[in-house]
Amino acid sequence: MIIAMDALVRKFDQHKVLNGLTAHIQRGDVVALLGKNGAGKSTLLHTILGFGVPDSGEITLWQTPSIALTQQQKQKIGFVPQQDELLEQLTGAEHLKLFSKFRPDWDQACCDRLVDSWKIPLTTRISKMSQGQRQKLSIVLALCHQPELLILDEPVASLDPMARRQFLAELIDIAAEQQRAIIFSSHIVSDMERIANQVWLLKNGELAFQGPLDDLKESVVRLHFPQSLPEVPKDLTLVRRQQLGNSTTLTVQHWQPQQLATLQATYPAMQVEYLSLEEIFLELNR
Amino acid sequence: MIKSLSIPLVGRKLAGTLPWQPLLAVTQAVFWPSRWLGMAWVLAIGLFVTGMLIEEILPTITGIVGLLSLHLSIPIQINNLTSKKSWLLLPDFKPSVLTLLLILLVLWLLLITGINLNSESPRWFHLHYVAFLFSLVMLPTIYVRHLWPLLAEIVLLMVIAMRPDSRSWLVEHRSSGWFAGLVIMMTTLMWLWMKYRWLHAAQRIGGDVKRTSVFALYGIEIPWLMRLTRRPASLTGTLLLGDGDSWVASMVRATWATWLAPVTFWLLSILFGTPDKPSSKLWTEHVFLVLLTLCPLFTLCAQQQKSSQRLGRCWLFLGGARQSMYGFAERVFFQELAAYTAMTLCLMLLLLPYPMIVPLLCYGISATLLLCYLIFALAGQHFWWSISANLLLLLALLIAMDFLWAKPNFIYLASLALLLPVYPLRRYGKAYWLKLDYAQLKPRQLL
Repeated sequence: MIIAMDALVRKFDQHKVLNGLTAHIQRGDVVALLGKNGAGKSTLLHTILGFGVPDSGEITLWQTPSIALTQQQKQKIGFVPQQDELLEQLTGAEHLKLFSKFRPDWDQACCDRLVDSWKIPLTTRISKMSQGQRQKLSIVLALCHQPELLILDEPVASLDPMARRQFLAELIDIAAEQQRAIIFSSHIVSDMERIANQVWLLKNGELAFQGPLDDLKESVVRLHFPQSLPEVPKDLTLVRRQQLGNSTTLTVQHWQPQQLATLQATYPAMQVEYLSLEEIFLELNR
Repeated sequence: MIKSLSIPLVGRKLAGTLPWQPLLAVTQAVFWPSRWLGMAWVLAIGLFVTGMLIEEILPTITGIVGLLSLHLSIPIQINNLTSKKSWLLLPDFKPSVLTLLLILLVLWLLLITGINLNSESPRWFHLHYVAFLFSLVMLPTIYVRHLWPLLAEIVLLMVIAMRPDSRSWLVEHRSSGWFAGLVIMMTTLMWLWMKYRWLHAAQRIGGDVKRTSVFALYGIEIPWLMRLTRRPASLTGTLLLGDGDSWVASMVRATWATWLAPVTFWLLSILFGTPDKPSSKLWTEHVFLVLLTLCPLFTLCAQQQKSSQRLGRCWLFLGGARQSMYGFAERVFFQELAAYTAMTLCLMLLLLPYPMIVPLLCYGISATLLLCYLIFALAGQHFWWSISANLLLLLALLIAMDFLWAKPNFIYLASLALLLPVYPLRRYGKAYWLKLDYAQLKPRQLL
C-alpha cells in the first residue's frame, strides 16, 4: 500500500473542504482525480504530500503519516504543482544540475531524452521562459529521479498538444512498469481516460465515486426510451431526466447490465448508451 | 467588438458613456482597490481639510503625512494593473493613467504652493520638498516597475529630515527659482518620456517576475556575481532561500548588501562633496551612520520575509518531520545572519567611533533577531500584515537609535529589551508552524 486515507477531514475557516475521505492507492494504480473547480482536488493532493495537517482522520504514505515522512520516503515522491515552483534566477541547465546533484536516483538519460524531445531551452533563465517551457521543466524535475509515487496537479494545462501527447506517452510508460503509483488531476478528462485505471470523483468534499475506471463507465449510462415515461422505472438511480418530444432520456448511476433484460421486457425499444469519462463527469456534476 | 473600460461601483451611475469613463475606472482601480485603502484616503483627506479649515497644525500635518504615505500605494497599484494583460488590452488604459498622473502632479503642485504661501517659517521637514520628491519619484517607479526609486527616496528623505544642516540648506533654497524650475522640468521630461516610451508596443510586458535574489532589492543583476550567490550547499536550503545556501553565497550576498550603499555614498561625496556643502558632513552624522551600518541587517529581514513564503518548496526535500522545519529555517537564517554580522562589523570598524561599535552591533543583531522571529511568527498571516508590522518596527528601531546614540549603556539595555520577546515569539512560531498549511504560502512580490 502506498497511500492510505482514513476518514480524512480538512477544514478552512470551519468549511469542510475534505469531508471524511477514505481511500487507498497501491503500486500500479493510476488514479484520475476528478472534480469541479474548488472541489478540493489540490487540497487533497497537498494533504497527501504533508503540506497541510489533517483536521481529523489519518493519511499515511508507506505506513508513515504524511507529515512525518523521512527523507528516503520523500525521495520516492515526484510532484508537479499547478503553478511551478522553479527558482527564477537559475537557467534550465542550472536547475537540472541542482536537482541531479541532490537526487541519488537521478536518471540522466531520461532527463536528456525529455529535454531533447521537448526542446527545453536550457541556457535560458527560468524567468524568461514561457509558461509551457517552465511546466515541461517542472515535469522533467518530477520524473527523472524515478519516483515510486507521482503526484500531478493539473500538469498539462500549459502544454501544447504535441508536448501533451509526449507527456502522456511518458506517463503510460511509467504506469506500464506496474511498480509505481500515479495520481493525476486535470480538467482534460479525455487525457485521463487514456491512462487512468482508477477514478476518484470529488464532489462537495466527498468521494462521490472511487474505483476502477471500467466500473465507473459501466455504472453510469444513458437510457433512451422512444416514448414518454409517466414515471421513472423502479430500481434506477436517476441522475438526470430529459424529455425531447415523445422520447425520454434517463441518465442513471449504479447501473447493472442485468437490469437491461427487465427493462426491455416492459420497454422493448429502449437502448443503453455507455458514456465517455468526460460525459460521466459532466452528468454527475450538473 | 472593442471593449472599453468598465466603470465599477461609484463611477457607474455618474459616468454613463462619457469620455472620462475610462479615467474614472482607472482612478477607482488605483485609489479604491479595497475598502480599507479607500477609507484611509478619505480619512487622510478629511484630516487635512479639517486642519486647514480650523487652522490647526496637528490635523493638517497628520493629513499630509497620511496622504504622503498613501501616495506610496499609487505606483504599486498602477504596477499591479500593468502586470495584468486584461487591463493592458483595454483601450484608453495608457492615456487614462497618464492623465491621472498629470492630475496628481498638478494637485500636489497646488498643495505645495498653498503650504508655501501659508507658512513663513520652515517646519515639519519641508513637506513641499517631500511632496515634490514623491511626485517626481512616482514616474520612474512606474516606468521601471520596481520599487527601488521609492526605497532610495525614503532613505534620502530620512537623512534629510534628521539633519539640521540639510534642512537649513533646503530652507535657503526653497524659494529659489532654479530648484523649482529643475523639478518641474524633470517632471515634465519624465512625463513626456512616459508618454512615448512607457507600455510601448515594442516592449515586452511580462507578468510579475518573482525575484528571489537579494540583488533584486537594488534592481541590479550582475551575471558573474549572481553565479556565486547561486552556489548550493543543499537542495532544501537553496529552495528555502531561493538562492544558493553555501557559505560563499551567503558571504557574497552579505558583502554586496553591506557595502553597496556606503561605497555609492562615498563615491558621490568624492565627486560632489566640498567642505562647505552639507553632503561632506554626512559621514559624521550618526543617523546617517546608523542607517548605513544597520540597514543591511534589515535587508536580511526582507530576505527572510521571502524565505518564510517558500516553506512548501523545501518541505518535500527536507529530511525529517514537520517539527524539523522551524529548526531548519532557523539554521539557514543564522548562517545568513553570521555572514551579514561579519560584513557589518567590517563596515563599522571603518565608519564608527570604536566605543560605539560593540553596542551598535549588539543592537543591530537583537533588532534583526526580533524582526526575523516576528516574520516567522507571521508566516501564514496576510502578507500586508507582516510587511506593515515589520516596517513599523523597523522605523521605531531607527528612531529609537537616534535618541540612544552615544549612550552605550542604554543601547545595551535596549538590545536586551529587544531580545526579551524573541523567546515567546519563537515558541509561538514553532507551535504555529506545526499546523501551518505550506501550500497556502504563496511567494509574494513586494520588492
